[in-house]
Amino acid sequence: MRDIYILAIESSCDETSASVVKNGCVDVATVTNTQIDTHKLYGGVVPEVASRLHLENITLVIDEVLKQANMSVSDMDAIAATYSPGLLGSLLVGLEAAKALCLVYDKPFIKVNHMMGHICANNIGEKLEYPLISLIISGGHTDLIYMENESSFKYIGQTLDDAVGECFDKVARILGMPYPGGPNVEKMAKEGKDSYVMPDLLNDDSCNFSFSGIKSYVNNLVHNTKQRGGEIRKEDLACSFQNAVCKSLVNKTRKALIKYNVKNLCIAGGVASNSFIRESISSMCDSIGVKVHVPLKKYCTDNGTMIGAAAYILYKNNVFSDLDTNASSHEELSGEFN
Amino acid sequence: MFTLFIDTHGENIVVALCSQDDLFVKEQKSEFSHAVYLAPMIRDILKTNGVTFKDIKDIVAVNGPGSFTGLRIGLSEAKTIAYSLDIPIYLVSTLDAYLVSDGSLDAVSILCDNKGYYVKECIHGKMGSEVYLNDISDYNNKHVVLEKLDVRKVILYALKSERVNPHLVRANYVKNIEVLK
Repeated sequence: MRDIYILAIESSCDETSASVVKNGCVDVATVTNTQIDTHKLYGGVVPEVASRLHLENITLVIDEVLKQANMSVSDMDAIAATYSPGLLGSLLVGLEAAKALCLVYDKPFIKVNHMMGHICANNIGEKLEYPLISLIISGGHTDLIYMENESSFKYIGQTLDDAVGECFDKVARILGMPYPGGPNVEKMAKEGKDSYVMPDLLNDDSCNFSFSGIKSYVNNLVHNTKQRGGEIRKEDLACSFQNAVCKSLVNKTRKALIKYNVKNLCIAGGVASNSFIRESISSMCDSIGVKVHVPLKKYCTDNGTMIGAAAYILYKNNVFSDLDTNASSHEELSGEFN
Repeated sequence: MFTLFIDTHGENIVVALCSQDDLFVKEQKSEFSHAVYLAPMIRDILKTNGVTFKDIKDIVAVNGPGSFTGLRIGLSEAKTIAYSLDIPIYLVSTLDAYLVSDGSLDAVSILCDNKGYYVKECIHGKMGSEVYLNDISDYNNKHVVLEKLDVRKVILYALKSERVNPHLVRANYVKNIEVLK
């Protein structure tokens, strides 16, 4: 069979990324311009600033990725872009650039849901096996999704309030660490002991999560201790917090795997780059005989490659989109594609 | 050869093709849906008039002030097309566009948003600078131009300005946002 090349663009949050992906599994070239240094100044992503930077960088990123791949847009079989979920202003820049390329080069356009991208990041290098349960853990999502095959998505668990990554970022901020907080909490936790008592996280029969309670608890603990003139052992607090959150992720994932009697799990999203969480989930899976798929760390955070990997599945199934596709800040994966 | 014109700063999207002899204009009212209309409008205006991208020699894009998101949709489209075709792009301010369309040597162009006014004055045919004001009573006695585009005039005016490398296309926001102050 002929090789299929897709140029994929991702701009849903603070990373302008473009990638050339072959057959949905080979990362021919990827260029990502991250805005982390800019948003660090404000302690988090400022949507208007992010959108402005995407507009400044979009063609530079596309140009660079084509140079690195040593290919032209005319060599592509399709152009893909993230259309949802994400920051509207940011999404629109990448989406319009992709549509412009489709117009000029007369190529089919494929809109990709960012969350499908995170799941498909697992296809780079190694193929996913179905049926599987997908645990998406990122700054905006904490979802357990049951997938009968590569094109069906059934939500079986979600966070009732904060996403796990959001919770990590907030706790990092409370502990005085710069944005992005997740990796910093992980680093700090390595130096500490699990010595603080943490509240019980949602522990019911459902596969849902809740992280707002522990966030408030850490916030109150730090403030109360400070008001009483006490010292917070930051490393220990980070470690206790991470352990508690991880325990909840492990428990609920185990519950889902047993309930649906599934032998494959894939982890996706930015928080999947947290080694402690990766290892904890892996060892739980080993103990119940489940195979774990985890993307390489560089494919956990937002990138164009995963969008290309997802777009390939849509391409194979002839799911193309029109040029009147709009961006949407929040659209869940549903049934047979979107 | 044609110039492709794109204006997405306001509620109306304007796309046009302009050559020495022809001017084709397509206008579309769009409330918060520029992304739905823009790309199909460009596709359709080319198709209807039997023009292909090979016939486009340059692009003129209105780069603001105006709706931040609207501008970015238009400029992302414009700069990517210019980059793909390897053709020059010329940017024109919304306020200049209205002044030039009016043609008066002494006039003021005013564009309001929810909090204030973008203002530019033309005195004896010389363009002043662009400012964002909360009060425009100083301009009560001046000739304020209508928010109406004469596309051919705007294109001819823009083509006299400096061509911009597509990678360096920026929006002319004029107003600074809170965090950047």
